[in-house]
Amino acid sequence: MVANASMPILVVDDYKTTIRIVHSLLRQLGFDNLDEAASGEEALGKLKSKSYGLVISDWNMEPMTGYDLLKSVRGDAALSRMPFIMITAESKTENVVAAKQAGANNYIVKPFNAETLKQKMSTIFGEF
Amino acid sequence: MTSSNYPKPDRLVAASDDQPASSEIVSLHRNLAALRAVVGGLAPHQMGAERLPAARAEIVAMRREADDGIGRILTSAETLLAGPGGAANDVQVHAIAILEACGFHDLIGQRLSKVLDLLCTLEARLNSVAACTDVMDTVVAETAAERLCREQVIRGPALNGPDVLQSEIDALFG
Repeated sequence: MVANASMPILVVDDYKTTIRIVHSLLRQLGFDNLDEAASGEEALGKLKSKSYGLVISDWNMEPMTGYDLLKSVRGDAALSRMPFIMITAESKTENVVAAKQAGANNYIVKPFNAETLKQKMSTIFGEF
Repeated sequence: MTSSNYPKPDRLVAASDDQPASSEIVSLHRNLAALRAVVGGLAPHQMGAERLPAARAEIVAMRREADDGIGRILTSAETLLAGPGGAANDVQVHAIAILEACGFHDLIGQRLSKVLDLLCTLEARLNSVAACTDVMDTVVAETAAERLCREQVIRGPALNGPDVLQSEIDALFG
């Protein structure tokens, strides 16, 4: 996969502040086709109605968590190959293992910075 | 009820054919059972020893993180204003707006102090109840939110920083 500056990226978090921060960091990295969702359900609806190049999602949201969103994405034939990065404050080993087993491409613990985000995106898309 | 109104012991002993004294004992027993149920429902042992201290620890951690974050925001805004020759006018306006907005920190700190004081009071009172009664905590059915957190190991941010390092996660992901 290759990072395309114009590829749509969906950022999912129930905290608007976090969405603004991630969007700002992504803009700094050269990505400007950014979208957002405040819950797993809203994200899934957007993913089914529009093509995205990457999902960056929080875990702890209600009622549909980011983990449930990940499982739904991986269980949907049309979305199953979607790059998916989990960004969350959940930092137990079992969380990380569960996310990996569910098919997350990478996992970032909050708080994080632009360099960490770029590194994790690079593991999916290569250097950009 | 004053002490003079309490049934005298000799009347209680001879109450088998004394309807008023008997009904009063039944009423007292019923009220005591209801009171024990209410106290048990408060779960004084668990609340006083576990949940309220855990809630206080979360607030203390929140204050520490807010202190750290606000410190870095202020430092950045101050650095912008202190740049060589001063900041450009629009940068200066926004840097000052950031400094002004950081005033929320003081207000939040004061509000959190009130909440902490209340939690301390509640904790002390529930511990007193737990210490002077033999009532056991009532087992309450798990809520849907609690079940979700248990099943998905959702605990929120750890009190003393992440339990697993980003480097360990990176190693796991290869």
